[in-house]
Amino acid sequence: MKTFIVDLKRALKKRQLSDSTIEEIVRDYDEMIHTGLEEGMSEEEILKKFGSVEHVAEELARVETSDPKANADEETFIKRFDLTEDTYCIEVKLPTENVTYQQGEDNAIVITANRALDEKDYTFRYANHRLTIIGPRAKGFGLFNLLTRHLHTAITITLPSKATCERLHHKATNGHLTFKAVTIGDVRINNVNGDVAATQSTLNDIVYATVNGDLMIEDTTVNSLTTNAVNGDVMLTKTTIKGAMHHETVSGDAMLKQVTCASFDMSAVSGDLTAEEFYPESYKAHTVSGDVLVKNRKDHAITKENTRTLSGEFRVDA
Amino acid sequence: MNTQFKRGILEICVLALLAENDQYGYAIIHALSQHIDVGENTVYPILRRLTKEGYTETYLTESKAGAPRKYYTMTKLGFAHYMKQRDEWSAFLAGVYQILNRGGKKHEDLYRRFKARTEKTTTE
Repeated sequence: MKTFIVDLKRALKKRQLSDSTIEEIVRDYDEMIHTGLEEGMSEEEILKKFGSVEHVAEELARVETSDPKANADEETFIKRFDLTEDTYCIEVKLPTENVTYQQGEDNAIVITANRALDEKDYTFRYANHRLTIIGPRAKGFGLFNLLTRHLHTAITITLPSKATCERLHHKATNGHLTFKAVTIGDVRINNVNGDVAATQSTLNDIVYATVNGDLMIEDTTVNSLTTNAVNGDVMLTKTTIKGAMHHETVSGDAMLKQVTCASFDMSAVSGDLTAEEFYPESYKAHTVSGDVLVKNRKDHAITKENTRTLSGEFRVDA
Repeated sequence: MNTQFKRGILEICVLALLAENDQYGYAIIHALSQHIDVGENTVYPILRRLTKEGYTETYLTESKAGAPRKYYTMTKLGFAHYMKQRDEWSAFLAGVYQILNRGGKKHEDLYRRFKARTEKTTTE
């Protein structure tokens, strides 16, 4: 045990780590050895788990001398389209890529990614007021494909400052989708497994169809929300729906917190509705075994009469 | 397998442990060693890197016996990083399994096919 510590100290010194860093590392190893002994391990067993002194020192030197920023996602510029028209629309088909929509300061659509994209695989086009993006299909898994493609491609689409996006249609399979403080007209999303998150945005009518993907909306204003999910959950927080919310699902849950809407309508098999501070002006829910659990402080329109359920629980707490 | 690859595996395992609970160094190494060979892959440098990158933080607590223990706790950034890594790994593993299971899921299926193919070529 002593030799391990002594050897480690020497090996770290050789690699020119600072005295304070070496001191801290040695302290930590000393602690781990002592803890191991207290827990009934033999010295030999403990040291076996650490690895050889040289290997440890080499790894530590790598960590201590590396620049943490070097690992951060670096954005690669892909395309820029300057806009002169007032309105435009977007059509995107990216099966596996994660996509973020954000607002920009220039009156241009700017597309960036976390790595260089192969131009053969992607289409980025702007014509007739329409931005079209098409990505490669998730085709047969060659090992090479796996290593290159599936290492998380993230595409960021920065929307123009002046021109208004009237319509967005986004199709994905596994990719996640994020809306960060954007204003978009009608949003239609088709997804299988990917999740969708929107924060601090203003969106008109949202139509979301998914199998497993969740929908999370926070601090956002929408006109209407229609969700059709098999397993995907819908989570709304601090959100205002000016018109109607329709939630149709098999086993997806709806979790609403600080939400107001004009009318709420839910149809579920086993999906639950859990709500806190949820104030729809009119309300209707229909479930087979899903529960309706509401916690509201003010008067509200959620009644047992309007909750049709076969075996689900209905509970309203003040 | 190359070291980079193994480092990635260990890292996501460390993240998985810390996503559940705060842990002290020895406990992490011990927990991992129950399932994987940690000897030739060093866990402690990974903990140091995660801390350096802001994915974990540390705090010291007095223990009844001996020196204070350094606990590692996951930050929100760390959790987001873990989710991202998890997605990458599951996509990667799904692909690997797809390849491995091309000719069938069981050893017997694969053997049957292999045998049929090799016998055909020897008779030709």
